[in-house]
Amino acid sequence: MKAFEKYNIKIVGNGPKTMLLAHGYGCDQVMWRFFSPAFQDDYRVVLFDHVGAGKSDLSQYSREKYGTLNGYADDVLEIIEAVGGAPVVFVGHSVSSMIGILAANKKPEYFSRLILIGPSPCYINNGEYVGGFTRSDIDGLLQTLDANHLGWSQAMAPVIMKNEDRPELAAELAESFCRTDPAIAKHFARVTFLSDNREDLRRLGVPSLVMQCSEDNIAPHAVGEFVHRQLAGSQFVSLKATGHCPHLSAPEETIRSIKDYLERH
Amino acid sequence: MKDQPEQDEARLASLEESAEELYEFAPCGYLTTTIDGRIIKVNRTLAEWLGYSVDELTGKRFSDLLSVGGKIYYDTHLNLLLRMQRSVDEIALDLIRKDGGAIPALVNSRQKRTPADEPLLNRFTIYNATERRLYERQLLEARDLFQTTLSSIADGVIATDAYGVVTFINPVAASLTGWKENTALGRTIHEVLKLVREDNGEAVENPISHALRTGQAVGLENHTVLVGLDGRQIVVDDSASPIRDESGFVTGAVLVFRDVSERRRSERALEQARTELERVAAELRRSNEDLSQFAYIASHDLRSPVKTVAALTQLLAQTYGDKLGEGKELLGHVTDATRRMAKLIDDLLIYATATTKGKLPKTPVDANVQLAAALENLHAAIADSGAEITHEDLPAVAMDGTSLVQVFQNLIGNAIRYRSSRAPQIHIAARASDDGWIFSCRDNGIGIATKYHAQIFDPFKRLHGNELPGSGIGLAVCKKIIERYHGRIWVESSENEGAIFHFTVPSRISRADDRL
Repeated sequence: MKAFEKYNIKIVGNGPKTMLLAHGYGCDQVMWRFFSPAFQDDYRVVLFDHVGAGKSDLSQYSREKYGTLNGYADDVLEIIEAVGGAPVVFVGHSVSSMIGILAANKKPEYFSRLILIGPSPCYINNGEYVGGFTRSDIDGLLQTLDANHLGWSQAMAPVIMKNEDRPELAAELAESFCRTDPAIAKHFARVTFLSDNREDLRRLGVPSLVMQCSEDNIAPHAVGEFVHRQLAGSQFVSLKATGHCPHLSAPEETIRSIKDYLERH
Repeated sequence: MKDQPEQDEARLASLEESAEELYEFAPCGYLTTTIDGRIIKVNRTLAEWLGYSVDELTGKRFSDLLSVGGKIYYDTHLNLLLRMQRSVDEIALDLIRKDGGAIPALVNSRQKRTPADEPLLNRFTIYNATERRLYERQLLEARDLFQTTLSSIADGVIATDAYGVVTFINPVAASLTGWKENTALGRTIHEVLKLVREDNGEAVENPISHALRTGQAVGLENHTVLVGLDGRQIVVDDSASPIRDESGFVTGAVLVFRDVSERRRSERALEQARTELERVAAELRRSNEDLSQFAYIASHDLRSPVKTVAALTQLLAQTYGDKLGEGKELLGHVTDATRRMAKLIDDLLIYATATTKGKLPKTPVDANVQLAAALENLHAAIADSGAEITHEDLPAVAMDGTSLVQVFQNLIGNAIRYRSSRAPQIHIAARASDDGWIFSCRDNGIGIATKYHAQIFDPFKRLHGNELPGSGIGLAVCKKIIERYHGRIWVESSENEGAIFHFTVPSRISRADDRL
């Protein structure tokens, strides 16, 4: 099926319900490695890579479509249509929590619950609103990305385009975990960190869980609370886990919180 | 002691037995954090670089030492990579010193795990990379400049390595060949760029291969057609040059090409238009020549029979005048008509001559002299009418003297002929302009209504019928002469206000006019 190639869709587990795991900015579906096994008994767990990330079909990437998070939200709907099982439990990390909200605003009937890990509707400070960053901070991030993509070889491009005739490069790719075309990485960074989707929060009609880490540099506590206040029918959970990736740093606590929520609500 | 170097080395090596010393004063920074990123150990080298004491650093988070961009990178990349693959190398981050200054650094990290593969600690080594990062920044800027430039230019550009494998293709080249940048990279130039001859469709040697084979630049291969991925054919101009490294070895080649289909089409259209124009011009010239020739021959040949008729009529009147009675009056009309006819034929001959003849002088002629000659020819009319004729100092002009006399004579003659009740006052002047001299002939005569201004220069156009003398050829002859020198003649006048005739003549002799 076309969508399976395009988004590198993988399905694990065979539970009666479907859970869709959407990775955030900077990596790919591999980041769910310590998380997904815990749900395989109760769910069909669907993993995928956003177009432009991981082993998705890079030829499908376009600056126009992915110039706003809406392009990614449409993809989420396409994935749900491709794998079936709606309404699904959607677990989105970081920017994907916002992508999930946008998708659920378009087709609420596709979603039973949204689990939002470290959500932020707007990363840039704006008047009273404190997102945590300024525009020049984001420029600093783009410079850091530039400095860290020097090793990116143009020779990688054919591999990612799935040129079967150059297997030696395919092996190299397997080693390069979370490796992204620098141009795409920068564009995705810009789209992610300069987006402002605060207005979309209030329109969400699907029940949701807002998960807030301690000491999260990217989505500060105040932002998590803001999201919770704006989302009707949302629950808020504050995790002991620090950082921005609790499903990696503290998978047990993260899994337990989500299971609790899904059992009770 | 000098003869015992081994002992010296042993003594020195013993100084390095202290692991603590090696750690604390290593030539790079060492830092250990919990999995949460809390600093639990840091060496003195790093503390010194950052301007903190070791105690101040302990307990901080590693990400607290990073720039904001670096914090995001840590949380979205570095930390993930460590968890997934235990180690990361050569990550470029800016560390922020206590005083706020930034230290560009390269960071390596290893994750220590339990036997059960549970993460325990993250260890970091930090290298000061100020110079290197500056250099990288310059490289990046150069690359960006190169990319932006090659992406913005209107020509297609493809670069290959020494084996002809495509390493760069700009958007124009991608669109002309029909390939996408990502799919073209890594393919050979033969796959990406198919060239054939325009006339017979035979393959031509790829300019890149030629440049790689010979080490020479290869110029425009004209009449080359690019066959795109979709079979579309585009006429292109192309050139390829080898790329050499510092030692002169060919390390690749670059091809520049452009779509010239449009230019080829317009060249063809232009060529057709020019041929057509030349054909029409030649036809017109021939027909003009024929017409002038005809007018000349006709008027010339008509002249003698008309003269004969005039002479015979006169003889008839003299010899048989008395016997004709009333017929004598009719004979008088015949004589008048014959004289008018002879005059018309003379005028026609003048007009025809004005068209066909006329030479350029070798040196400009003095207009003052030509004006004097014209006035001399007109002396009877001037005397009869009491005309007062004045002129300014006139320039030398690049036109045939006889023609200029003709123009003056016609204009001044007209000014006298079409005088008002006042005595004619006529003034001749000239002033310089961009395209030569503008002469003017001003009179105080009866003037010409605006609606006639255009037609008075047509041959045999007379506004006054027979009430005033003249055949209506004078201004037409002037126009013919002036136009032969690419000049213009026009009138400025209104009824009863006098008239000013203007005409332009070239000030310099143009050799192109020799053909006239």
